[in-house]
Amino acid sequence: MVNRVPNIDGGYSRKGVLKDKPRSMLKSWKMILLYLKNHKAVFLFSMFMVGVESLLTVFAPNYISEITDLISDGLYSGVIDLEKVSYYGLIILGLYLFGTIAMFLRNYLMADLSQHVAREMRNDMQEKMDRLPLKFFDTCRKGDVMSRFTNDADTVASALNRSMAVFVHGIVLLVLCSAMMLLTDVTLSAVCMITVFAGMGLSSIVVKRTQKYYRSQQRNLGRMYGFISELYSAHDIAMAYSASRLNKKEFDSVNEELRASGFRSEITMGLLPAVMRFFGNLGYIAVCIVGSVMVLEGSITIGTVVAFIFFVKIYMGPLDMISSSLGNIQAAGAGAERIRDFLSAEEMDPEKEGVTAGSVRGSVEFRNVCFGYLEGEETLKNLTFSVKPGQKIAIVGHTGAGKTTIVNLLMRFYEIGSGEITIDGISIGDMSRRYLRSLFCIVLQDSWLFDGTLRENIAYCSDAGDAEILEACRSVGLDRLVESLPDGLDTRIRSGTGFSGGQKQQICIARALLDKSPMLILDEATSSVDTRTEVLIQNAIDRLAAGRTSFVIAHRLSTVRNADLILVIRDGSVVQMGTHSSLLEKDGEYRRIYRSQFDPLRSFTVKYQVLLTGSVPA
Amino acid sequence: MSSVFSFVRFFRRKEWILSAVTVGMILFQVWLDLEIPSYMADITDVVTAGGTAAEVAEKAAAMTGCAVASLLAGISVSALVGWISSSAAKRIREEEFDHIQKFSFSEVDRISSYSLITRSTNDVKQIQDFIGTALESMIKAPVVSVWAVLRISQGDMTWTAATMTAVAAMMILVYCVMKLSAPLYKKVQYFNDGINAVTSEMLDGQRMIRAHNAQEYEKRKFSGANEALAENNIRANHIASVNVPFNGFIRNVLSMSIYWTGAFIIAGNSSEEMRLELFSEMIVFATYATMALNGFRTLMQIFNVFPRAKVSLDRIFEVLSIEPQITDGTETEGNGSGTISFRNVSFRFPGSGADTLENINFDVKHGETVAVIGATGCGKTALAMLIPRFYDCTSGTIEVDGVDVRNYKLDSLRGKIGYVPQKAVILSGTVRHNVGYGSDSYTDGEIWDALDTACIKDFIELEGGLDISLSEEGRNISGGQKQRVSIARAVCRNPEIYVFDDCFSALDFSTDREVRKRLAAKTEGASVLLITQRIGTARTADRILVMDRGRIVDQGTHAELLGRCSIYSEIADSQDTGGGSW
Repeated sequence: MVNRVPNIDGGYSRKGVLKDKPRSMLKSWKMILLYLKNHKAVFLFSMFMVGVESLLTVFAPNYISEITDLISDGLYSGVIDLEKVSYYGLIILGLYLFGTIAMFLRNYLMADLSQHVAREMRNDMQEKMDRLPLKFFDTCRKGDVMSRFTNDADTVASALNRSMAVFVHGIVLLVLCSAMMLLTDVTLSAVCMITVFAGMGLSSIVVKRTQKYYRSQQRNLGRMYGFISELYSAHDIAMAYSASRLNKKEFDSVNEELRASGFRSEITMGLLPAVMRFFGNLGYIAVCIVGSVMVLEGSITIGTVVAFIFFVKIYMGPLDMISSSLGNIQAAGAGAERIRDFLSAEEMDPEKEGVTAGSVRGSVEFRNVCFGYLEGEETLKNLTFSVKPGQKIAIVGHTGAGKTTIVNLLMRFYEIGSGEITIDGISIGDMSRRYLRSLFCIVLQDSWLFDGTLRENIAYCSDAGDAEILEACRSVGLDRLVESLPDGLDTRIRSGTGFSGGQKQQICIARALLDKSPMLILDEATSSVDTRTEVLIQNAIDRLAAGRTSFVIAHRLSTVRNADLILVIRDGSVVQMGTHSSLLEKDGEYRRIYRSQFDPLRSFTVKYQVLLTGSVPA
Repeated sequence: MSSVFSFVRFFRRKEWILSAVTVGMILFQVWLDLEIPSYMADITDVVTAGGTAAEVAEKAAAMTGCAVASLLAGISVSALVGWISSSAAKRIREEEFDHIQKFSFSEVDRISSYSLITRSTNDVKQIQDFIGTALESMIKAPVVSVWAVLRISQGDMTWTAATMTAVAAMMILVYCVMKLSAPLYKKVQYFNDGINAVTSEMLDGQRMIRAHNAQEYEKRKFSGANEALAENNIRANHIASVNVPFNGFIRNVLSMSIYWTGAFIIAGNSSEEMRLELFSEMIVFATYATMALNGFRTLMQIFNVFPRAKVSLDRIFEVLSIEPQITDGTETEGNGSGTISFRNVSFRFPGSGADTLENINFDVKHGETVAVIGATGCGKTALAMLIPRFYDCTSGTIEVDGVDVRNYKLDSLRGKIGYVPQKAVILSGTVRHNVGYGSDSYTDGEIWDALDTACIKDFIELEGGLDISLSEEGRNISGGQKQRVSIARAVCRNPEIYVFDDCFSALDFSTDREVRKRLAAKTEGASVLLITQRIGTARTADRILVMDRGRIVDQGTHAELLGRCSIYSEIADSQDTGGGSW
């Protein structure tokens, strides 16, 4: 029954860097682009703005040099064409103004886009949850999944916001500058570009080799999230067992790995701009040397070399932009990759149209059902039984016998291995899951409450009014509690506070009472409720179950006694079947279980027998 | 509230030394960055003067040297900054973790565990990013600016005035942006907590969500939280998106206006010599003014990351400033008798309007088993939680081994107690990890022994032994198995006092009986406080406390209570099958 399924992610090696098969992040960036595609118009417009901004950046300096030319022309004569200066001044002002507005617009729009992308990624992950098999949730590391919703989506958003436009801006500028250089002189352009492209080549190697650091960073962040979230939810045990020293040890190792991967990604983030600046400087030197040689040869004029020197200077701007945004873009890739991994986790078979049964009468049949949580394991073996409409079926047996598994299969939380389960003669495999589940109202072993008001928790997704909710509360014995709460039904339920284990179960049962589905499943619904309240709840449930097929798993045989059919499960098979009185007559499992509860003399331990002698009334 | 720079609180000697080295490296780098252009100018001079390739190469060699040095300085700066920021982040996480470890429930509830998770990860990341991006600029920018301003301090009044105006405009702009965006950034982390909470609930509640076909409902809830986060981020980023373009605009307009006004100033000067001088002065002024403003701009860009980092730092300090209410005493031993006594104990949950427990008095003597029974919500669990001091009682005293629990060192007190909570807690990890939780000194024999007492040895053996892994919250084993592992955990430490909080509820009766039989043998000599719903379990105790609405209404043996306590008889009746088996 212990199903061991590897995590979505692989293992980790020392120093916070995971050993991983080399894997390209291209797909992840492609995914980001796909999300951007949803906002094509806005995206294209903001990229257009980047183009406008780039053009203006390239042209504005020309007009400044026009002004300096005008001034230097008049230095000796003392006559400066001030009108023309003002004219150019106004042009420059206009260019700057437009450039600034363009830049502001693209920034503004990128703020929208980046958040929309992150929001859609989160929404898609949320919707993905609905398509994942229960097995995923039963084996996943909770905090790690949560980290994908927060840290990873956040990384993608902030990287897009900060770096996407800068990166594109850099590329456009680079192209423009290259074009202008090529128009001026091919040889010198080649010299300049070769150096720069050598730098870019080196950078791309750096990028490739450092991807793993960004990946580790996001993954370790997820690990830390997982570790901490589990620990904080088990705070009672950590306190009671003074586990802080050992927890600290584990924390320290995760923390150190997170630091190491953070350090490495931080270095690479700063490394690229430094390298690119270096190659920019080299390009400058190369242009100067080759240029002066060419001047000596007489193939070009000094003017050309001087012009080139300016180009190289301009060239450095976009190189800086590109290289300093690469780090963020890599981080975005790493974040997107983890989101993509989640989105591509194996799904359930797609929901099909499915057969519906009209008005359900509620006959249920298990035929030779076999099932194992793991390959080659049999939790349920050849389970066969049938239930007539309106019957109450009790499932009893030792813990771990497979009782909850029957519910898992009936609700199609897990799919059966072989055999068939039918409702009114229709195989549940032929029904849509949605329809099948709409046939049952259900209370599970673990009470599930969420952050919201008491009213929201009880009504859940039904449209029950306050009167109905209060009636349900009365039926499960919660009315006194609700009355004593200062905010009544508006009391906010927060994680871990206020309600006792039994009260949580009462709330969950009240929730089920509002559900009008034709069949009923109660899996240990009242295990933490005191027995007087249980009697009350039992009556409510009996009223609810009247005429409905109901499945009850319970250890308290008082809940089981009046069932129409009792299934005694042991090691995944039905060992006995029948009514209370017929089973009690036989010498079997049921009688043994029954006696263990109701024959107190047998339940005494040696120690207590002595103490209690004489104290039992005749 | 504190300054954003109070992150230096997390610096230790090493970080301080490295920071000093970083400052030195950055200054060196700035010097190189200023040096390289002058080599460029030299080379340009040589080229324009028609110098030979050899002459150029000579100058170029020196410049290449500078470029290499600048590269090395750049790399080491990023390494140093990376080291400092990641170590500081590590230390923040560590301090937070250590501090939270000292929290009891009331402190955890004050912040909520969802928020504690974000505050220990995401918020720290914000600080790390801030140090990473800001440290270099924070040192570099002022140096460059001051240096550049010094160069032009003798310039024309008009230009100086223009520069001052530009600087003032930048400051006003940045100030406004910060003022407007700070409250929004403050909410970002709050909304992140919200996403965390909803996601966590959905991961926990998949079965119920599917059973209710509530996917649409959950989707609405999630997209509500998601939308709130995105909208808030968008608004904050919209405001922040003014920063860079308009600071750039101010800088560009300044350099343009220097030339523009320069033309008028030069034209208005009659002396040719003065004109020439003014012209070169203008070029120099424009260059350095731009440089100074670039410095300012870099400094201003920090203010883009500033608000979020500030908020995160405040959130972290909020956690660190919570003084744990439950603190160590000095007593480590007690008299070792394994007794518990409650004297006039009342208890009220923090923030609650009414007492959960009122005037509780009882004793558990050495080797005694005392059962607690009572209606759901009557305060049984609260009573149990007071013994290992998950909370402190509001009035009265609780003594363990004859010593007030508040006088014990917490580890010593809790070391005496084997506490098994109502909701079995299973951690992801091996069975060994789960049963031997809190200590690494148990032998396999001891762990097997504990599993045997909890009647789950066979199952674990069948599944493959102590190293099989249980998933988070024990989702791969059944409810009854979880409870038994949780019981084994208490047994393994062999305590003098056991506190069982209704932890047999998911066990079928024969397993329950068997577990308790083995426990009775194992716990011979230990004192037991046993909270239960089952009369059959309670009646085996030496004494039974009957609780109702936070009070003990009666205590005695099964027989005594049956005779005189109506609540007890009602409970007994509700469990009597009518078969007359007792």
